[in-house]
Amino acid sequence: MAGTADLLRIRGLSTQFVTEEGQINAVNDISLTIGQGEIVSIVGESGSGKSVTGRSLMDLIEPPGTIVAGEIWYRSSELAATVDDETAVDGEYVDLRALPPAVRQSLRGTAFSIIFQDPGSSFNSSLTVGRQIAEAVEANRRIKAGQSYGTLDLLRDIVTPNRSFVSEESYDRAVELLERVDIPDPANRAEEYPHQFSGGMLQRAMIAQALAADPTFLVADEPTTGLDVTIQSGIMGLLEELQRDLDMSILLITHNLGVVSRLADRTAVMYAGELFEVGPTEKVLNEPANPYTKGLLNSLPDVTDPSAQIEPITGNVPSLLDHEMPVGCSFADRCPAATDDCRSAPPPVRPVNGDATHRVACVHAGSDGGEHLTEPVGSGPTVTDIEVPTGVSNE
Amino acid sequence: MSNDLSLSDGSVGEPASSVGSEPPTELLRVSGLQKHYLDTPGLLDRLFDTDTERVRAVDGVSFSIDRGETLGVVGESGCGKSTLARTLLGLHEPTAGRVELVGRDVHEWIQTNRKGFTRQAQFVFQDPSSCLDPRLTLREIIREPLEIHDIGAIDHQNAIVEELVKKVGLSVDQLDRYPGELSGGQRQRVGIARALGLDPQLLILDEPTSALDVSVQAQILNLLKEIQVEFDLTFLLISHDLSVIRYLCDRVAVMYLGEVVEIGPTEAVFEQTRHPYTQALLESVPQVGAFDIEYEEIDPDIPSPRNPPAGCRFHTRCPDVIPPAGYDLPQQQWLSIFEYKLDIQSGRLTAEKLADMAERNALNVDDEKALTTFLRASYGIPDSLRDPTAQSHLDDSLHALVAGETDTARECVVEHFVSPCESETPAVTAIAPTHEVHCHLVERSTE
Repeated sequence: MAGTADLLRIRGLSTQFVTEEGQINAVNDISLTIGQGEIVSIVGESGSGKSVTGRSLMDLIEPPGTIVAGEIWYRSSELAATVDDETAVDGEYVDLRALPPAVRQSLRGTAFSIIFQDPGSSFNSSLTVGRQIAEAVEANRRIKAGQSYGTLDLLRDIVTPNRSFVSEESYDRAVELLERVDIPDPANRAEEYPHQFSGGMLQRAMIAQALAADPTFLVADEPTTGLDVTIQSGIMGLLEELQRDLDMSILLITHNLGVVSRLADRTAVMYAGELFEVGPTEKVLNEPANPYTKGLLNSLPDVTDPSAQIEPITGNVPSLLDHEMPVGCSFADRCPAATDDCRSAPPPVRPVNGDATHRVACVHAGSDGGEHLTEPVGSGPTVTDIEVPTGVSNE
Repeated sequence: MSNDLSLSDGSVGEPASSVGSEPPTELLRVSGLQKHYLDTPGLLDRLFDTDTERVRAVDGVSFSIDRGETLGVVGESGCGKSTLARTLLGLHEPTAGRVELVGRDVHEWIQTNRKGFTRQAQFVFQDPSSCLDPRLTLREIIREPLEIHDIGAIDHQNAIVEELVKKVGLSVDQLDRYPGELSGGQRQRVGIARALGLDPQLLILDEPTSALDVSVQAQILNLLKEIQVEFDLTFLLISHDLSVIRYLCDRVAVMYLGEVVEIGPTEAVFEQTRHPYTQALLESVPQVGAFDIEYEEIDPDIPSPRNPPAGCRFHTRCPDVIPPAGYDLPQQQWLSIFEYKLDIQSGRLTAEKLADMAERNALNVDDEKALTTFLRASYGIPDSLRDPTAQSHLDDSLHALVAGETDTARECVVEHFVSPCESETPAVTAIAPTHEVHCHLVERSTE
């Protein structure tokens, strides 16, 4: 699945926020690959940095936050052909972090798209749903046609404020997109306002908007949280279908391990800004190696087995303040298996039972298979992913 | 003690009253409870004396809870479960029906002695951050109910507060903090401590863990189990999370559009599910660590409680809706016809909308054959049905619609395809003494 067809290769990504209390390491040196047409999920509790990871990939980090380190290699031969900077190109891959902001911005909303948890707050309540989706289509169409918004356009819009930005073709395309995401009676629903949509419908509409420019990569940030199980099931079915039909790669950010089980090919478990375990979803959930993954699974009540007792993880998620972060494993204080070794140094990243696709960052789990697995980027623990990270070479 | 109930079942036959050797005493009884909200009449409504619309949030709910028991109420959002909880506690005036706590009518009790009633029944809210006053310290928050009810001198109150804080897993030195300094889980613990202060008999928990992370949720769930035994509490737990319901509850009531559709011991409801809605809910839950499941999807469109469907309220989404008598149709074919019927009946499908759809799919609007094929395909109706009578009625309707006569098309299906599920309200069928289901299918199978 991964390997030669990787769409994204993330290396040593770190995102920090500077606040009055100090520097917060929201994402701390993570590496991950996302294959073409693959659904990779990041699971973790609130504050673990999973949403910041998604936003970092979308280049949506705003001050006081900054992406301080890391490379995001994106496979696109067309883009690679247009980039002059040799250090930013490697075969078909382009390091997005090394590109000028304008180029990065041109990918956002086109090749890269994102959907958010709360669709109600992501839509403008004073415009019809169809019009908002059509705007995304129109903007993308104009970018493709090489049109930009200049001073003249601004002047014209000031003089005639009601002049529609959206062309008829774009609006028709918006209705088609609504139909694509299984909204019944799309032509009429397109003329309705967001408050007339139910939560599940609005989430579908947001997915339609995200599809406006035929993205190759979609970040789905808690796409089903807050929805009823019946509605959630429908949204998951839609995501499965889109991934299959459009061969889209999806980064699924969620705290719901059930959603992960149904959708994700591979799963990364995140805690305190770091990846603790990465592997095929089946392995991570059924043969968890990291004590934190085990703890998460044990704290879930089982809908099929009432006799299973739940064991909560004691304590709370740690603060991510730089000066309060421990030297060693950030989970050590809550971990039942913690020893002095855990607290003295960052945990090593090793494959589980020699399986290179399943890696874990823990002193007490995994084993060195004689391979060189960790990439010395930064000082924190690194879960390097499937690809043996000798950089991105020879495609 | 509360576990006895869930253990005793499985066999579905034993009454839920096998708690210990003593006969159980009923703590709460709800009979025929209704809560309707009326739209505020506007000027025109008053002038013309028109009826304002009713939102039937809770529409005839009856059940009882025994002492020491946990009853779960589960359902999709908008099914009326939170309104039910609030009406039980007298936060809303019921439209009809009666609630009795320890044999006394709750709403009469509230009118004569609200404080006396609130000492018996307390509420734990979903969002622990919005139900705690940010300007009060934890000590003041937990002490407030004690002050209102004049319980002892301040030293005595402080002693109770300190005791409670330890019981819910916080430490005494956290008492001078403010809610803003706490995590979500700690705030929920404060909410629980505050509810326990008056030593109530009934605790109503409205989505107590929905805002929490899984690891913290597990802590709170276990805490609830502990305090139930320690304080001899009866719980009414409202949740949309089926796994939480299964973990905590002895019995569960499944609500749909203001009505209870299935109620019974948790084990029976989860393992011997009889109502198609309960089945649909259970089948939608994605299972952790299970990878070979085909998930069925049901129509996500929940009808409005303003104008709930006639007969069985679930019939618009039900995969097992009963075909009309006299037709010999496979369920799948019947479902397709029924979906077509519901759409045309509700105006979601008209000749104009069909023309619209055809245009978008680049079909010739005047080509009746192509339109019929398109219509059949979009509802999954095969070209020929097993039943010739059904076939001819359906053909009439399809032809009328394609020819632009929506009304004729509607009449055809409305007249000839009537499911018993939409014409008659299902009776309560007890499939075991404690397991009741409101469903025509179950009614028929037991006849």
